Amino acid sequence: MISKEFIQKISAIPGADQARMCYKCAECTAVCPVAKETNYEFKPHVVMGMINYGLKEQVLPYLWYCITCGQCTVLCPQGINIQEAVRGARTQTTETPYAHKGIFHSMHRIMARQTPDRTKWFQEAGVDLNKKGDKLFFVSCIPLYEMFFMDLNFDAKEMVKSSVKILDKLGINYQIFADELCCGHDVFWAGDYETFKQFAEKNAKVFKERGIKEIITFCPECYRTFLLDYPRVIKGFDIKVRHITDLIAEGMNSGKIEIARAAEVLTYQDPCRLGRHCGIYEAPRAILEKLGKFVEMKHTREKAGCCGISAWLSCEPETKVYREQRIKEAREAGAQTLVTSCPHCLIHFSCSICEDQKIPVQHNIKVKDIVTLVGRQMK
Amino acid sequence: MKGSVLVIGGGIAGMVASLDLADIGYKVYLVEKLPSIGGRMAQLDKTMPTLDCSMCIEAPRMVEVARHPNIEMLTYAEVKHVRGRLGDFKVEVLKKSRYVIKDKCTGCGDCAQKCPVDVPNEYDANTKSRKAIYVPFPQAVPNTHTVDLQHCIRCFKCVEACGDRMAIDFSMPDEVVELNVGAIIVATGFDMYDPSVLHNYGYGIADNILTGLEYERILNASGPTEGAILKQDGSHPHHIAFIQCVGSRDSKHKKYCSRFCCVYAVKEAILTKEHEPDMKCSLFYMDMRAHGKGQEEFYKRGKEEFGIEFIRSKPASIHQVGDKLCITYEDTDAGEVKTMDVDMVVLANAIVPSVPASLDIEVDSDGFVTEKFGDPSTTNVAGIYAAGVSQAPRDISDSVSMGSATAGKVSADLKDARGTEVTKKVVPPEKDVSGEHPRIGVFLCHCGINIGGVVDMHAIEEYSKTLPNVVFVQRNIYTCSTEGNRQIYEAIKQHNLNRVIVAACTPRTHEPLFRETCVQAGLNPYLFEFASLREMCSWVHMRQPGEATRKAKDIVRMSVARAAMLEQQKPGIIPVTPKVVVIGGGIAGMTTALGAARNGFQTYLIEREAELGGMMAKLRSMVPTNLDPKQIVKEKIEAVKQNPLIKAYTKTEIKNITGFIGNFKVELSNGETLDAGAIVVATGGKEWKPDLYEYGSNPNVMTQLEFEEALASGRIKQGERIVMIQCVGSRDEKRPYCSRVCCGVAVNNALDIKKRYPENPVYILYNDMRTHAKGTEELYLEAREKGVDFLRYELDKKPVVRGNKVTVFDSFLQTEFDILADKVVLSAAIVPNEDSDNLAKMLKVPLDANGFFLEAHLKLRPVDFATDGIFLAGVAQSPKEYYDSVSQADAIVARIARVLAKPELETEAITSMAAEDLCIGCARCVPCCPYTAITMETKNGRYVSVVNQALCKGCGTCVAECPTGAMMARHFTTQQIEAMIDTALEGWQ
Repeated sequence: MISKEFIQKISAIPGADQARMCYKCAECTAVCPVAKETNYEFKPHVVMGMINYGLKEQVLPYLWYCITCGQCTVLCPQGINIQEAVRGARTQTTETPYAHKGIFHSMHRIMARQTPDRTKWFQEAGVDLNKKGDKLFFVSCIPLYEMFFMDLNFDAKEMVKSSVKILDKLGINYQIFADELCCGHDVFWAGDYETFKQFAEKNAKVFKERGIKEIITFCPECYRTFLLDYPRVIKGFDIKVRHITDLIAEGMNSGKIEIARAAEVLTYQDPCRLGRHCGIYEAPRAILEKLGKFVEMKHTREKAGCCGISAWLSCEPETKVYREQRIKEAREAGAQTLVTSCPHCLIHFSCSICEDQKIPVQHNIKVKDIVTLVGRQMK
Repeated sequence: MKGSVLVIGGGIAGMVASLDLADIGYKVYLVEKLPSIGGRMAQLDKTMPTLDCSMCIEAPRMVEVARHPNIEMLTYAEVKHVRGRLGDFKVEVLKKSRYVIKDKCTGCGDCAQKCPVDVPNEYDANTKSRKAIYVPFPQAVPNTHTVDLQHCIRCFKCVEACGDRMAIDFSMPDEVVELNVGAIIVATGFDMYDPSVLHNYGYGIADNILTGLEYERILNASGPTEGAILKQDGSHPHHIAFIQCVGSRDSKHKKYCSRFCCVYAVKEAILTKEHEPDMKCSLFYMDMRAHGKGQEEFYKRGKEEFGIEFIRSKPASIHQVGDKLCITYEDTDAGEVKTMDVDMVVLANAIVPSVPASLDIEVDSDGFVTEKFGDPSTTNVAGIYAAGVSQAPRDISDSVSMGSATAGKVSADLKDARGTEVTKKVVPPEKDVSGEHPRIGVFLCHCGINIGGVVDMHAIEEYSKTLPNVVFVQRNIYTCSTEGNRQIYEAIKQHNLNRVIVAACTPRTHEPLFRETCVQAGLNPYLFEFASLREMCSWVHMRQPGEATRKAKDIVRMSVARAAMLEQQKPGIIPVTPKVVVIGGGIAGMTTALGAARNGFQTYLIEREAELGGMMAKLRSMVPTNLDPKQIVKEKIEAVKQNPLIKAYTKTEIKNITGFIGNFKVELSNGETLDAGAIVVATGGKEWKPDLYEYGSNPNVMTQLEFEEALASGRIKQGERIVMIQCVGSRDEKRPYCSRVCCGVAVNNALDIKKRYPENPVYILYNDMRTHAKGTEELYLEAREKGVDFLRYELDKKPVVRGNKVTVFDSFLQTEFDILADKVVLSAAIVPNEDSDNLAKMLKVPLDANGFFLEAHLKLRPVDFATDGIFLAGVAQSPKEYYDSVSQADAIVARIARVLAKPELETEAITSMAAEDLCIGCARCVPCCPYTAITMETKNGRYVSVVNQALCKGCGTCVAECPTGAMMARHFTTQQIEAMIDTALEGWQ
């Protein structure tokens, strides 16, 4: 029986009601990596149909199949943001397949109520917290992740230090918040709209109080959330959002940043949030051209494969396939290092490689973060 | 007020408008930006769904335009500036220099042969090259060459080749022409959207991915491969895929539906199968929009007769893999992603309007002209009208109607200046050849490769020279070209020819053209004889060139035998009553009546019902939604009543119709008899009363029309669940046609419910969503946005209504749904009125297989009947929307004016006549005459048959029936036929 209750419930969530626009051309299925891996049990347009017709019981498991990579959205002639429609529908379920036993989401929820203090961490990292300016360097939750992924050589401190070095070189006046809150991305994509709203409201208030006019971040998830989701939730949110790769590329053009080229062969993993969601493809490539010998993988830009996980959800053997495919492509392209501009991609690919070293398959490839590399090679 | 008109755009819509206006009595300036008129239609291989050779049916019109004394063509020219107002526009036209002097260029092509530069030919959609000095195609009008200075390397070899003719002049400047006209018609057509911006389809990257227009040229005999379907490397493809909606119906590109691509793709696939029956054709579509007359049937033929594979899916990508193109798509039947390796892909890319900015008229956000005052061809500037695709995507048939519609409007606007700027057609004095010994000229046409590729034309040339009375023989690639006709003219003069034979395509399309050439050379047109070498020989014996050549010799020999016996014939002259009877007082009939009256013709409007208004008076809302049908009907009725030239009859039926063009007598049920020069059939149609889905027995099941009434009168309540079912009685065994309007109607009514009761659930169960008309695709999306649900069912798995439950199997979710419905609304078929049959008999005009009236030609004469002086518009011809109906109704106005604006008409010269002395008065000829032209009369005390020369069409049926040989057909005398038979038999001895 068709019911409109479901879609009516979620239509308050930004983007969620678009499912009704689907006219079933089926173009999405053919590009969906999940459809292929699930032997077409999962199909984006069918999910849209189920959401629209309120087939709640049937659609719930499929909502978590989707890795929200947005390859379908790039093609959709109706302009439906399929991942956002899925995200909206997720608010109607509690059976969230958390990865890492839900530790990150729990910590985020705690953070929504209790403001953290990262003063000590920044001191350890050697970052000056006394800077002033109307721009905010938004560090993101990587200090939190550092604790968990030390075994993957995930060095959040170096990422932050590199960023600070870059921003100083560019002569930007910025603040860093020791009491920075999560942007809310992960809880939002896990279907917890309420917590997301709390984050958005709190953050917007703090930004306003502290006179922030521009946010700079290296995290594509934070970047997307501030750029696209905040303006739809917070009335009058008009703070400019910049991804650090854009600033680096500009700095290279103006001569403020000079890079010593290394002999390393590099390839680039387009993070879904930065690439397909926000359309930044050029700046990271311009940087990689300078960092070493840049080669492209078979699937790039809007066709780039996803690492398989976002928002710490569904870390399962099924999604590992996407990482394996991507690493294979990188090696086939002749790359020695897979560079990404997303801390999450970095963690997920690092994990894949480490696991295999244990088993022991030699991937023969390194995974690095673009900001760290710039920090190391900047003259 | 000026008696002249500027028509911008020399495509089919502009040509039709020009010809109608020029015939009515206006001077026409036809501006075309390309070197030749003809437009997009000239680029097509065949038309859909009629499968006419596009160039063959268009070329005669092009030549007619060129020859019309009232039309001045300004080709290779652009409108730069327009000022002024209705009745008095000042227009600046830039005539770009061709660097070739028109009067000196013979179109011989010697220059192009010597030109060393190859440039992609725009006419061939860049699939083939031309030279830097060129005519775009052999049938180009005018056939003056043009130097493409951008690509010319200034080697001047062309000047050398032209020699003493001195036609090439590199110092020729551009010219600015100032025109002063009373009105302007914009018929600027369309461009193609660049499909390379859709990166996933690989156009411009991978080989063998073509646009629909490029493939059209591949199919064409004069295209890059001479009609052979070949890949870029010259090898034969085995599997071709057609992909629809490439850039159309796409929020990231063009939101609108390009409207004719679905059926042109079906046509291209059918033509492919005709070329190579073993080729596999797969067609990917989203909704198959085969909505026009005959199109649904055509689509079905494609599926069933030609075995084209139709796949409902939009492919995600096309990649080159080796020498194959790999298409990735979801097979929505199987529900899984598949890849298909094909050899060639044809993309139906969107069309985009090309209205020049120099015209300061309002266009919509897509760039199409914005229509005003509820009329598709009226713009925001009085005196400037839009025709064809300039206003919205439409096919040839609808563009032709709209071309004529603009002519009808302009003709009314400038009525007082009619005839003030025209040139009288100068017919040179006719030479009397009776008694002369026959001197026959034979002109042999290769028709590109159509004939020349099969028949050995050199052999025919030599053979013709040996035939009796033949004094001149000439061979051409295209005899129908301007150059070919010029050569006929010259030969008649130089060699004193008194009989002319053209051995070419078919008299059906080309006889009038060659006859006219004879007239210009001072010969009676009936001294011309057509030998059909293409349709009677080369096309049917394509694979037997030896036998075809032998048969071609026979055909030419027979024609020569007959030609020697041809006699001069004279048409009769009949008076014209400048009045018109319009049958049907609906929106189409009233529109025609008002237009005819504005043109100054007395009009009688006959309506069977008690009120004028027809079907539209019953509508509560319609597409386009900014128009109120009730208001429009009210205004039209008021205008009709107040117009002194219109006499409206209600509750009146037609009792009998006699007479012929210019002189009809229409008997009415009230006893009156009306005299009229023309008759218009605008009898509309009606909504079918279904015998499906419990209609009639279930009180909650109603038709769309009944639902509109219920909604408007408040009988639909808040909270009621509405289910609409599409294609009820259409697209089935009994009625195979698409009713064209229902998808738009359903969407519009659904939105109407949502406007009143946003919470009421509305479901539309459809098979293909055919929201094709301007603005309706946008309505469809709006309905989705407002929460209307669309469930697709398969035609062989129709929904079931049981009480308040509708069961439907959704073909995408592969799930059966039970929907509880308070109201079930059936989009019932549009059917012809039941007394169409009767009226058709009275008028002696045909009905089509579905019971609608049958036009003279679906593409080029959509509002004419084959019988002169009788016209048809609106739903009487086929189901159609308001805009298309009024467009046809206005088109008729121009078609009528062509007849009624003249005091007298010429009749057919080739008629039958009865030899009184041989007639035995048996009257067997009377019932066999399809035109009721024969009556029995007492003459000189004898009971004999008499043929009405104005009614007789010269079909010859009576001649065959006559037992005594009293009945004779002029121009087809027994002696002439016997001479042909005799010589045919000689050849086989």
